[in-house]
Amino acid sequence: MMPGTGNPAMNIQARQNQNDEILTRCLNITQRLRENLQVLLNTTKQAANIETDEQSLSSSTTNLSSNSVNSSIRNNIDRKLYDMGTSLDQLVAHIEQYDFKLLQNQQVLISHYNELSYEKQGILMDEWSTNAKWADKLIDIFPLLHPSNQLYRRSNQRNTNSNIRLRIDGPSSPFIDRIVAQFDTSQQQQQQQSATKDYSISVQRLSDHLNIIEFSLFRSGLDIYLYIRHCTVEHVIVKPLNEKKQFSNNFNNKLLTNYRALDIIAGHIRAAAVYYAPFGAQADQALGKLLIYISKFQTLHAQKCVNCQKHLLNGLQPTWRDFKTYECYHEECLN
Amino acid sequence: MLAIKIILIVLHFILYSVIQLPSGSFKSPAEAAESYLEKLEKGGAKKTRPFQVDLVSYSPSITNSKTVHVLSHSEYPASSFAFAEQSNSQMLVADNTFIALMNKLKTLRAFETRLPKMEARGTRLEYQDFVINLGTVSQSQTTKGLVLEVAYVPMDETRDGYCLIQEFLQSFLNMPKQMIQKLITEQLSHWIRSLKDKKDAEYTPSITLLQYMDILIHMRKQPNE
Amino acid sequence: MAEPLSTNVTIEPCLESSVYEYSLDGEKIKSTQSMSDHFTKILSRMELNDLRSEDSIDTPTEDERRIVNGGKNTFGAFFEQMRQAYIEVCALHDILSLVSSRRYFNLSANVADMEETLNSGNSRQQRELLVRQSQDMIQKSWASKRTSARQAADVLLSSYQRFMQIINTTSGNAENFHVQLSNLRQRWKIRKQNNTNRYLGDLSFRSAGSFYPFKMQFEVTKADSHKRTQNNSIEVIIPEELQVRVILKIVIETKDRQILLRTYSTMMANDTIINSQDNSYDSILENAQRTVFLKELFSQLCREASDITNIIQPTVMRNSIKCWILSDVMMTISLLRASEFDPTIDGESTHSGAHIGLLEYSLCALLRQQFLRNFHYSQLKPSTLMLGVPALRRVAGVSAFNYNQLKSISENKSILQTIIELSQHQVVRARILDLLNNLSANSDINMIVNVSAFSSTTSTYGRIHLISPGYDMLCRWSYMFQIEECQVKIQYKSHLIEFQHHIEEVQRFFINQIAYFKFTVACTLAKIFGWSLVGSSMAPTVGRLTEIQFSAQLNHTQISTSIGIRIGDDLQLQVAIRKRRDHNDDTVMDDDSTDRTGGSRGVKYDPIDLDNYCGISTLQKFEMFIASLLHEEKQR
Repeated sequence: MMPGTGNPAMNIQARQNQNDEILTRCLNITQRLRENLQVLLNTTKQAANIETDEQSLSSSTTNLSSNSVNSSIRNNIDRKLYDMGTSLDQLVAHIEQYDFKLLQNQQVLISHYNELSYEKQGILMDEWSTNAKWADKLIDIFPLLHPSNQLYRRSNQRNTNSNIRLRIDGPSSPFIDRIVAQFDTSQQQQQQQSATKDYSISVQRLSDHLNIIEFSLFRSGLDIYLYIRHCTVEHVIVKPLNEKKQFSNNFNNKLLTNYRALDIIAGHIRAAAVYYAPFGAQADQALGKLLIYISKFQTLHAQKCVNCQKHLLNGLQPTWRDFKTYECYHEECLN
Repeated sequence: MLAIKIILIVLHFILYSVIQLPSGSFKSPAEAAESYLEKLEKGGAKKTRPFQVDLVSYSPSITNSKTVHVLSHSEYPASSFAFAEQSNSQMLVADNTFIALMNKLKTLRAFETRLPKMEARGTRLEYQDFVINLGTVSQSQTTKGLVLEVAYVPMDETRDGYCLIQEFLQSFLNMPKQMIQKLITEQLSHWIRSLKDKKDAEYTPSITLLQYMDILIHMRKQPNE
Repeated sequence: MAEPLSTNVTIEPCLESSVYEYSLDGEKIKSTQSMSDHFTKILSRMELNDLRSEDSIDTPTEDERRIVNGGKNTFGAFFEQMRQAYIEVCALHDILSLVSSRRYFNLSANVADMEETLNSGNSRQQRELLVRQSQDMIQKSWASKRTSARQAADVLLSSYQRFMQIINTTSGNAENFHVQLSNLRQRWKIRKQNNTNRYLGDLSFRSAGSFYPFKMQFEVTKADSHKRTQNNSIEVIIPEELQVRVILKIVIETKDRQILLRTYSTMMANDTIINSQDNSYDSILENAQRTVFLKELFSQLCREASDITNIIQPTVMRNSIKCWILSDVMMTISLLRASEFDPTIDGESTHSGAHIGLLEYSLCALLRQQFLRNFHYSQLKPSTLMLGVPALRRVAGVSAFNYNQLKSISENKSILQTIIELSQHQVVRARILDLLNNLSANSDINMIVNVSAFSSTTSTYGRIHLISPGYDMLCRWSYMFQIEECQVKIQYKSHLIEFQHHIEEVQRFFINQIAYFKFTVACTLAKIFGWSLVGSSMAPTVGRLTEIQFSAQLNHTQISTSIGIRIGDDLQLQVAIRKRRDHNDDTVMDDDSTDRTGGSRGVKYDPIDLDNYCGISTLQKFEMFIASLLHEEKQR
């Protein structure tokens, strides 16, 4: 067994236990040493007494018996000395096995506590060790304690497995992501040739239920912000793309645009949001349809109105897209 | 009858185009300006404020060096734009103090203003999402022609949008189609082709000013009308 | 047995490890004592309280003394050494038991004497060795320094206690004045005027950037001798105009004197308007500071009110600013003295929870913003750049900002403008939401109003849903609404309609929509049963949004009666039947909107009382009625 280093993979508790074991063994050995020494002292006293008695008595009548006593004493002494020698060796060996490195990291703290505990008659260390044990326990059970984790997992599972009515528990971001991903894949299927995407969608998550979807259409230079609360659109704002480049603070939110055409488009998108969401069921499908509707605004500047075959009417482009056929009309041309 | 001078100007990557308007059929440019203004106002545009574009050319005292053209536009009141010839069509955008700096250099005889100063003055009109600047160009008290600047503000992309401007010009000012063709579309396709290799350049106001500079320099060379 | 003639004597070299002693300074001293002597010395220094002392060590018995003192005794030296060893082993045992009980000691490895082995290892090992040695030394010296520091701390503490005794017992007035002055100075800005002996304090907000022209100075002097007491050897003199307490009063009321909001504020942390007699100098100065703040705020508001570029022009009178925030709502901001305040008029404050202090905090923040605008000091280099220009303006030239952007840089909303906008929005919003509340409480369809969480203090968004209870799947209408500062916009069909005269128009709009909704639901229900809509008074276009009387005639292929349904004035569904005749007669709808002169040539309908049919709501009764018609027909 390697002296002093111990297995680093063993945790501190095991090393501490090892140390305690060594200490008890050392204690036993020293106890034995003590007893041996005690006996030795006694026999030495005996021998000295016998010697002085011999000296004082100077009679040889008891020589034989004293000799035997002497030799037995001497044997005793020899044995004891030998015993002691082995015990000392064992003690040294055990001490070498003692894991000093265990406490090297905590040396300063331990010595500090030792000093303090001396003043408190030795009870501080006990308190500290019990606290440390409690903290360890807490770390072990903490992952089970944290409430939101658990609920999140539970409700998420429930919602993605069921096809029935949508319930508003659990965070809605997985829905939003799913809808956006669906939209993305559908767009990919439709335009196989596009090397670069001509739109971008990003979701800004304000809280569990509140999200802001930013839909940028590059070809028509529109930036559409949908403020949604769990798949229900609450507010729509349409801004030109170049404003973002100029001011580049993201939540700029003057919340009104200065441009007539964009305002009108915002109104149409709101109407579409209401139109696509009948009867309260399947709100996420409604959001998907709305995204498709918005993507038809890419052609805002390119297509002519179906009715009057012109781009501009009163200075405005054809801002209306039919809800079903996605054809573009001027608003006035509709009537 | 006055000759019709038509000069093509590039439609850069915003729906901004600056063109020189023909004033051929009118007796004087002022009348032409009046009539165009009337047309616009009848169409529904609203006058907002006067605008002015200046061009001053500084040529260095040492000959065979590049001339520096300094422009200022009243819609960008805090900036001045400078262009040195034979550079790769890059414009310097600087604070107003740049003009003072050039003047100072003039008094120190480093630069001279041999060429006359060109000015375009007129009114700015707004119609729905369009902004129109219509002005008369004059060179030291003699009028040279008309200039029109049309911008569709919310958008930056050119490819899909120039038809908007086309229609606008056609409907509002009754410009015949070939004129628009010549003025805008040709240059636009030329420009797009030249930029196909690198990424689309974003619009900066210096592009508009570049167009102005080209027109004004050209008009400077024209005989007086 | 013959005694051996020789004894075995072992000769061992004196291989005792050397003893190092670490002094209090961390020095390592090589001790000249032997290990056991050193150990004895240390043992004697330690005070081990629960040392289980061994018996018979310290009192050597007679025999032992005899043995030891008998120098020529063969056992003497041996005995002595054994005894020493015994003492040491006992001590070791005790130490080990203490270590195992983990109370006082810990075993730590002694960094062994390494000078002999340094040349043997490689440089890295040597470095590690040295590092360990030095760390060891550092730790040990740290421990010893702590103990010596403790002694020094004791000395300092005792001297501090002596000083405190001295201080507390003396009661000289001169010291007290300075002591109290320094106490006051910790909270207020007090400076000594240079040439005289006066101490002047400053209550103004000049350091925050205010340019209020009145000087707010107070003076701290020694109290007169007959007023001097233990705690009060200073006196604070405040200028006269700050000695009054002022209260800010905000009232919003309608033209008919109906009070929508009335609130008072003294900028105090708690709610009491007039506080009790707390006369310590701190509270006096605090009150004075509050007075300064309110006066400055009010003067700033007055200055802004007289700016003629305002959209809404407020009028400034003696101590109040009045302005019409809506066409029929007026807001008054006034500054009252404490003497003019009548606590009986005002009720208790209506704010609670998060609103306590919100007004005060917002006013402070706004005023501070205003002060900051007074000088735009920024740290931008180069130093030749003009001061007093906001950072955005510096960049404007180079980034080619256009006219609108430049205007937006330099335009700042004044405090009064902010207050007006906020209050406008609050009033309009409260009214609209109240109206919606009333409508939804009084109509027999479900009207759900959701106010969005994206709303802010100046704009509110939301959705309104109309649902017929029990028939959710038939028809559900939604509206999005937007309440701006003084306008209401509701999304209708594809654009936002703006309402100018808010309450009445919105009410009319919603009543119309509710009527239309009921009508549509009834028609849809009938269609499900097979009825078809023959004619109605609905125009195909958007139509007049104020109409509430929708009416229609329904025919069924198998039933010979026609049903006419109508939404009456009270928004209730009215149903009538008539027998169909074979030839078409003058089918003018019997509508209240067309006046009839002379005899009625219209179609005669017999009204049906829907209460004869069972059902909870009118729609259910209508459904029963229709079903009964079909049933009758089937029975024939």
